[in-house]
Amino acid sequence: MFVKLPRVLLLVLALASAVSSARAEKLPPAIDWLPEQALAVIQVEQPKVILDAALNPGLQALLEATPEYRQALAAPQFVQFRAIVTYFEAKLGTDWRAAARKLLGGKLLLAAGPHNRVVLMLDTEDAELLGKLHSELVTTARADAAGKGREDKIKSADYQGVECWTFDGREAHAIVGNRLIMASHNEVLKAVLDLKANSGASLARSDFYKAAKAAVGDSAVAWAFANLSEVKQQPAFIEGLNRARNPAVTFLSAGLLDVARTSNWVAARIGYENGAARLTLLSDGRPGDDTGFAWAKSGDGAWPNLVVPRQLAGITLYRDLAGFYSQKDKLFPERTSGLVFFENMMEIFFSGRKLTDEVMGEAQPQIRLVAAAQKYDGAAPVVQVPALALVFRMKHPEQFSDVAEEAWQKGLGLLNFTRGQKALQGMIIDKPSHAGVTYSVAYFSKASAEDREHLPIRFNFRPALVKMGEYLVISSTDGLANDLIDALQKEKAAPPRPVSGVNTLLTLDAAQAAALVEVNRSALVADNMVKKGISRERANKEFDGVLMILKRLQSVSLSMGDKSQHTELTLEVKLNLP
Amino acid sequence: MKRSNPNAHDTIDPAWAWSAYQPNGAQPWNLAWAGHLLRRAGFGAGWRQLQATLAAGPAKAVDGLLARPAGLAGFTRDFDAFEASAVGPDSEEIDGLRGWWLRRMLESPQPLEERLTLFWHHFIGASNVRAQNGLLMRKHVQVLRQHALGSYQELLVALSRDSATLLSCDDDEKATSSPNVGFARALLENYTVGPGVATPIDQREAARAFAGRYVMGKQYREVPSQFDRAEKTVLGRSKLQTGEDVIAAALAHPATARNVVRRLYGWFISETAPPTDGLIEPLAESFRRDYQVLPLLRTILRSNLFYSPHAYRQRIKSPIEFALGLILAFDGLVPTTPLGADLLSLGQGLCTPPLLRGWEGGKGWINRFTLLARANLAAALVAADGRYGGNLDPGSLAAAQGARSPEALSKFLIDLLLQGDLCEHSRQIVKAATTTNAARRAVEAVAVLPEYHLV
Repeated sequence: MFVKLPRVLLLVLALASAVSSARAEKLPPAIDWLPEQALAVIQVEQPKVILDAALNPGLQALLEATPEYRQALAAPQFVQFRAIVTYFEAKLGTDWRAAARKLLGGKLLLAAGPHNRVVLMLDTEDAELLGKLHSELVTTARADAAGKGREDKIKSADYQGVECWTFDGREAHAIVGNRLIMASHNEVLKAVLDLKANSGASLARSDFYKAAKAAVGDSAVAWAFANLSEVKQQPAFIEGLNRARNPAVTFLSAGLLDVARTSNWVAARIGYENGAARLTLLSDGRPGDDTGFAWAKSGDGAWPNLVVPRQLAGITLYRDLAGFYSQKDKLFPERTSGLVFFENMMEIFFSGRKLTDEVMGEAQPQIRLVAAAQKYDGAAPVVQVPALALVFRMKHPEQFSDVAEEAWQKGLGLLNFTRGQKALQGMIIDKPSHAGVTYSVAYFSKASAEDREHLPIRFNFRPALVKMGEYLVISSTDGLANDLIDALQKEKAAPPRPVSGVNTLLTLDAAQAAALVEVNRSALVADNMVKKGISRERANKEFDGVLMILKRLQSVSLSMGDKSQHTELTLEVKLNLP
Repeated sequence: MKRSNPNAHDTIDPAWAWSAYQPNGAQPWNLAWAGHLLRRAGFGAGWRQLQATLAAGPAKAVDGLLARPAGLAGFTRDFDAFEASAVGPDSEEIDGLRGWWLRRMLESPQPLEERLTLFWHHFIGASNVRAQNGLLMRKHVQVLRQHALGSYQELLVALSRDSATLLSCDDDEKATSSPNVGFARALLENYTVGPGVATPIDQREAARAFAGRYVMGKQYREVPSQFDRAEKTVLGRSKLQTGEDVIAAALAHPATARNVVRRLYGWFISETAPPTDGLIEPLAESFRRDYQVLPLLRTILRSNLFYSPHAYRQRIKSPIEFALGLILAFDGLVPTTPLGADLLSLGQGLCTPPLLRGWEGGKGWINRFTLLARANLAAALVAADGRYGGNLDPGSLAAAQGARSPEALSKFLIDLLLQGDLCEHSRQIVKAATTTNAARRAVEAVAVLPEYHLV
C-alpha cells in the first residue's frame, strides 16, 4: 500500500526522523553550531515538560472548547495527517504519543535568520526509532513517486564528512550522532556543519547572546533570544513603535515601547510548574528621561494589590502622574492642542490650579485600581458590570482632599445638568458613613426607573469619593468603596512594603470573571448573534467555549519592572487542570 | 410573463382588479408569481420556500402568509428581550435596534407582520433624529408591530400616546394655554384624511383635544388639569372632547380610508402609476367599515391586479428589500448591525426616515452613487470573508441543488433570484460571469441587473 505524502507533511515528518544510524556521541550544545547571523532562536531545554503539559487531558479539553481548534481538527488536511500518522504508528509498532516522547525527548533549537533562513536542531533520545522512521519515510516517498511515474527527488551527498539529505531539492538535513539538523536551505546546513568543523563564528560567542543567557538563567523549560540591534534599524519596526505610541499606551505600558528602542536584545523565558505557565520577557533596554515617570528609584516600587471581596482584578502601578504629564510635549507633540483643551477643562474643575504641579503633583506615584463583582440590593440591572475603583495616595491630604471633593461635586453637578437637559434622570448626592468614615456618594433612585424589574445599565453605578487620611478613593459604587475602606484600614494598621523595582502588577481572578460572564449570558449571546450573524444555538456554543476556557483558568497575573539591571515583564497563567 | 401596458391604470376595471385571482392559461400560476408574492408580502425567500409557495397555489400561499403562526408569540418575546439588552434608556444609540429589527425581518415566522411594521414606520415617519432616544424608538416600533395587522384605529390611539411619535411631530409640550398643533396636524394631514382636507381651524381644534398630553423626561404623561374639556368641532363633526374623539371623527371622514389605501397601493401594487379614485374605492369602502388591516391585505394579495403586469416589477426595491432579498435567497444570516449602517448609507436608515411622510422611495432610491453602493453591498454580502463574515455561500447552495456546471449554476441563480424571468441579453451577461466555482461572482452579476432592482 502506498501512502500519499504531501510535501509539507513529508518535511515535517522528516524533521523528526532523518536519522540514519545512531551512534552514542557526546556533542557540544546545538547553539555552538548556530551561525552568528541568526536573528532569533528558540531553545527548548526540557521538551518533556512541554509535551506532558500539551498532552494533559485538561488542556486538551480546554483546546477542544475553542471553535478554531475544533475546526482545525475537522479540516481535511488534519484528517489526512492523522491517517498518515496512523499508518506510521502501525509500521513502527508504537503510538504517536510514545514516539513523540522518544523523538522529541532531548533538547531542541529552532532559529531564524535573514531572508527567511530557518534551521532546526533536535537532540533525540531514541536514535534507533528515528532511523527506522526515516527509512520508512524514504521508502514510502520513493514508492509514491514511482507509483505516480514521478522523478525520485530524494538525494544524499557528503559534506564535511557528514551524509546530507534532501527530500525536495530545497530543504537539507543531516544527522550527526543523535542530533538531527534540518535547514530551510542547503547553504544554512553547510554553515552549521562548518561550525561543527570549527570554522566560522557562532551566535553563542556573541556578547548580546551571552548577556541574555545570563539574564535568563538555567532553570527555563524553554527560552528564546532575539537580536534587536539589527531589527530595530528596520523602518517597519520603527514605524510600528511610532504607530503604537499614544498617551494611554505609553502611560499603561510604562513607556515600554521606548525601552524597545534602546534594546540590543530581548529574551523570553518559559517556565511550567504545577499547572502554572510563566512567560518572562527580559531586555537590556533602559527607560529614557521621557519615560522615567514609571521607573522607581532603588528600593521603591508599586504597592501590593488591595484585596476586597468578590475581586475580579487588581492593578497596581508606580506612575508619577506629574512626571508623565510634564513630558507630554516630547512624548506626544502631535496631540498638544487636544491636551491643552483637556488641561483647560481640568483647571475649571480644580478652580484654576495648574494641572501638572498643583493637581497631578499632589498624587504619590503609587496608584491602585480594583475591579470587583457587585452585590446588588434588590433587582440587578439587566446587564451587570463590575465595580471599579482608583485608589490614590495624596502628598498633602490636609490641603488637597477638599480640592478633590470640590472637583468631584462639580463633575456630578455637570453630569446631572447635562442629563437634565436631555430629560434624563439625575443622581441624588448623599453622605453615608462606613466604619467611621463619612464619604460622598451619588446614585439614581430606583423609584424613577422605567422598569424596576429590568433595571437599565446605569443602575450599576453609584459613584463614590472617599477621603481617608492620605488615601483618596474614587469608586464606581459605594459597595466597593465600603470594601476598600475596610481594606485600607487594615493596610493602615500594617503598612505594606513597596514591591521593589516593579512598576506594574496585575492579577485577574478567572473564577470571578467566569461568574460575571455567566450572569450576562443572555446579553452576550444576543450581542454575538446580531454582530456575527449567527444562530442562537451557535452563539450559545461559542459562549460555552469561552466560559469553559475561563473555568479552566485559575488566575492570570502580570508584573513589569526593572530587575537586576534588566527590564522584565512576567506573565503567569495558572490553570485548573485535573 | 405576459407584457401589457402596466401604466394604464385608468382603464382598469375595479371589479376585475379586486376579484380573487384564479390561475388560467393566459395567466398561469408559476415561479415568477410565487417570487412576486414572497417579495411583496415579505422580503424574499429561499429556494425551498419558493418551491413550497409554487406548489401551494395562490390562495393557500396567501392564507399561509396571513395566518398567525404558532411560534410567533415566543419569537416576539425572545426578540423583545434581545432588543432590550441592546437598547438602553439613556442612549441615543440605535445601531442595536436596527440590527435586531433587520434580524427579525430575516427570521420572523410571519414576515408579513414585519413588512407591515416597516410600512407603518414609513407611513408614520417617527424618527430618532427628533426622539434622540433608543428606548423610545424601540417602544415606537413595538407599537407599530403590535398593531401592524390589526385595527388602524387602535394603532392611531396608541400612537397618540407614543413619545417617539409625539416628539417627531414636535409635540413635546401641550398645555391648554397654547396647544401645540404638531401631532394634530400630522394626524390630519398624514395619518388620516390627507393633505388639503383639514383646515387650520380643524388642526387647532384637534390640538385642543390633545392638550394635557406631554412628553417629559422622555416619558409620555397626561396631566388632567391641563385637559381642554370644552367641545370642539373637527372636520365638520362637533361635540368632540378627547383626542380619541378626534381620531374617530377623522376615521369617519371618507378621505381617510382612501388616503391609507392609496399609500398601501403604492407599497403592494405599484408606485409607477397612481391609482384612480375609482380603482381604490372598493378597497377604501371595505376598509372604512372597521379599519382592520388584515382583510384589506387579503383582498390585495389575492387580487387579479396583484398578479398582473400592472403590479409585477412596478416598484423599485428599497435598500432593505434589495439586501434582505439577497440574504434570504441563500438561506443565510449575516451580521445585521453593520447591515443597518450600510442601509443607512444607501438612504434607508431604520428609525430615521427623513420626513414625516417617510422615505421618498421609488426613483428616489436610485442614482449613480446608490447603484454603485448597492453593487458593493451585494459583493460584500456574498464575499467569502469581510464584514459579513462570508456567511452566505451561493456555491454550496447551488451544489446542493445539483447546479455544478457553469450553465446549471447560471440557470439556478437566475431562477432563484429572478425566478427565471430575464431577457436574453441579461441572461448572457450572467452566463458570461458564471464559471465553475465562481458562484459569488455570478451573484454579483445578477445583483447589478436592472431587473434585480425591481420588486
